[in-house]
Amino acid sequence: MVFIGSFALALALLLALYACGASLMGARRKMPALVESASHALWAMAGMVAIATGVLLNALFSSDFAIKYVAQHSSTTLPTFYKITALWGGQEGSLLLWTFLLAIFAAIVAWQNRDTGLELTPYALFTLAAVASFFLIMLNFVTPPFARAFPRPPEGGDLNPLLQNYWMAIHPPSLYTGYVSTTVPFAFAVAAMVSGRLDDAWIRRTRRWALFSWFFLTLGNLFGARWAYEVLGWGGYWAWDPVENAAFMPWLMMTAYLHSVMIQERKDMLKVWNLALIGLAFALTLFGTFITRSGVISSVHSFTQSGLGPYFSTFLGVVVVCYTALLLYRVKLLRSTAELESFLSREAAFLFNNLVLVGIAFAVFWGTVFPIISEAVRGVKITVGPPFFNEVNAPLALALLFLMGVGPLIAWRRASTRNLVANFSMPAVIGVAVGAAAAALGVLQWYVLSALSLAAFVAATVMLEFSRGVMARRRAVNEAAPRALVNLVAKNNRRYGGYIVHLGVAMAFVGIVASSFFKVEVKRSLAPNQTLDIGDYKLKYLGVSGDETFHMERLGARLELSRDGRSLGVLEPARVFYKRQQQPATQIALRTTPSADLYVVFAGLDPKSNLATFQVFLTPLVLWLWAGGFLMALGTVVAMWPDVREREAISRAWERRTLGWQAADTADFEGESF
Amino acid sequence: MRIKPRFLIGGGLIAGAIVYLIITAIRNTAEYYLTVSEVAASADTLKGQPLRIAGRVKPGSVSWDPSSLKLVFTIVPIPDAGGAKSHAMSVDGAGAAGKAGGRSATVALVSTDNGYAADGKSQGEAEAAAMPEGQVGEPDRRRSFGAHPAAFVVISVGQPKPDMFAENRDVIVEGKLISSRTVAADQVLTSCPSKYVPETKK
Repeated sequence: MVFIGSFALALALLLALYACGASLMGARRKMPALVESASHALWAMAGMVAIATGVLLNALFSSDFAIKYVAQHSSTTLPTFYKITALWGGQEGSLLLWTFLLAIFAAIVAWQNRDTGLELTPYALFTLAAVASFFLIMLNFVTPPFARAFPRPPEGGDLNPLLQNYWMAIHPPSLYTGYVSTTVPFAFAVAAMVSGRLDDAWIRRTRRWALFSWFFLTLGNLFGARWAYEVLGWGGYWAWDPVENAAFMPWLMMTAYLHSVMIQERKDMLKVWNLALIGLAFALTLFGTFITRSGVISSVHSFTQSGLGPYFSTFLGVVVVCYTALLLYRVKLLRSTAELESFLSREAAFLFNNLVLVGIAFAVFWGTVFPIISEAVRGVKITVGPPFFNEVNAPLALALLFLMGVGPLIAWRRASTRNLVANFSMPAVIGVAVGAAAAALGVLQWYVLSALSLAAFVAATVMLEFSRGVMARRRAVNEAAPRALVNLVAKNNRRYGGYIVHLGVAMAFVGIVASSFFKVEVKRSLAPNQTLDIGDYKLKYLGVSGDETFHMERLGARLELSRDGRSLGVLEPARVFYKRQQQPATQIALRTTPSADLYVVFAGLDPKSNLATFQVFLTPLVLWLWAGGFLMALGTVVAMWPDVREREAISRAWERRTLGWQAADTADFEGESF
Repeated sequence: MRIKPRFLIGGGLIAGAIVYLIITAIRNTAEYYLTVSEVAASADTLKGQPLRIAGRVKPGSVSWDPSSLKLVFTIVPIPDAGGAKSHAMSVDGAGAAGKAGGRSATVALVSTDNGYAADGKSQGEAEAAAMPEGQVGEPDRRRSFGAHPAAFVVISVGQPKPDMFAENRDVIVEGKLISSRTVAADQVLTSCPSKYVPETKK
């Protein structure tokens, strides 16, 4: 079996290299048959990588400790579910998963674009095959997943306890899917520049891929935050750890990209900017992989130093240099005829939103690499922690929120006073009213008040758009309100999907601000029957209870929870000791309500005094973050939904190309901003 | 796209504001990240500054009082700091807590055993066992171990004992130097136990 896995990976590499050569030569010599054979090679490559992945999964499943990776990341007592997730619990396996996803996506792209001519597609296939070749070289020569363990150990070393959590089952695959799928728009951007086909064809053909990537980056970040919240036991969900930052930066870039491509589609502006953004997004996914695997920057999630670092940094360097060179080579052809006319225009709002998003990404990048830079330049390692990121990003987030409210409603080109009054007076009044109400209720921090006002402003603009649309439909086709709402969204899914995402962002932001500013924490050691108060809650420590399985020992602390003298049941946070890894972990107890989360950590039992130490957090509105995240995902699905108008627009764009540029204008997209 | 000057100025102002934010935030929040020996070498100048100190918990030095949540222990240099520094700094889950715990530590002075020299040999071997294969036996890159005998008493009050805190474990102490031999910790982060990294076994 092991042999099959290694052999499949070797074949996959050969196929990827063949696809590189065939697609490039096919494009240069105008030989469709060669390009087609490159497509076929990519399909076969995907099959080979799938076989290798299957072999490794099977080995994990059957505890085949003759394979070093299995011996190191699994054990016979590991629950079956986590045997599967051990596939991405370590270096080699997670690289294999990465390559698997890339191979599948490349195969899908080859299939989707099988009849699209020799202009863009061959170069896009070449780029995908080249990136796949790099990862396959790593898998074949640097971190082979099927390396033998010799002698075969009788028992495996087990999966890291921190990874034995169900969020870890979905967080890495989501994030990897998001990371890897940025390769597709990137590949088409390269194709556009190499072929000189610099209109927005590359953007249109990858729009859904970009949304797909954003969807999974969003989910990946959210699941990661949820994992940190439940497993790490410090009462928070985001610590600006380098790996979190590495996942956050591509998300920011893709967010900026999804907005700025609308300007190019609509106004034929920002061409260079869009190419630069997608290049940066792709480079940042590589950078993220690089810093987690090279040991250069320390983090919760670091893999071991494995010698991958130099290869990744070299590859990253090659990608950045080549891409920049291509961009400079084509920069003359990328001149736009249109120009910005007014600060008070949708173009300007989108441009500023992009500047702020890229600014946030830059600040996060700078804070992440600062220790390395300061050590290299000044010889002293100086670190910046969460306070740095919070201090920089807090005002930028407010600016972003403001622009998020303004962007969708402000007129194109130049907004008249009438337009501004008609669109923004109601949302502005609602925003101010919410701020005033919060102040009247005793919220005094100016930051919280501005955040609440702006979030209400955004929500009001979205509601205004929805109600206008529904009203218009009711007047025009005389539909009942619920039906009008459904049809409205169905007929303009890009636009209204985007609004739902905005609503989700505003909601999540309120959750983040409230949970950061109003978190209450109590730390205390209790003897049995002593109590602890937090907010309205009272916790009474009843005693410990232990149980044991083959896999772990668990020591739970039983706490009776009550509010206003009324019992709300028993919470049982626990300390768990994983036998194989000889490592303790904490199991929090969580009571979630829409208004606040009660989060209890059993921090230790002192054998001498018999005192149990607890750390209890009462954090308001955490649920809003997850609910807002869910709305963001839902909105993205709505925006991705297949759409008749778009398909028509694409065929019109094809015609336009054959008829020449000037024949058609942007009238195709009147009224469609998303 | 031709860009009118006022938009360049507008964009420039935004970019400038972001850069300004970054610079001031770094100035306000940066902490020196040093090893025990580095702190010992310039203890006088570092007094009162926010520091992150990487060191190892000296065996037999730990005292924990659960009723007052007071943890006192001694940190000594990590053997083979050159290779170990980056390895040891893989902060575990508790490390991700960052500043979330708040700064509830209080300051207390405790006299310390100054002339302490760490038991280099046994700890060196322990660390070698914990290093990835490629690095085992790598000679000290930074300093010869034991040349700067250094130790600090760390006092942390008001925080629970970190999950993986134990003797001989590598830790990062965030706090301030309150005397030439004492650190008042805001937070103690335990770094990864060697088994976090699978390659270290076998």
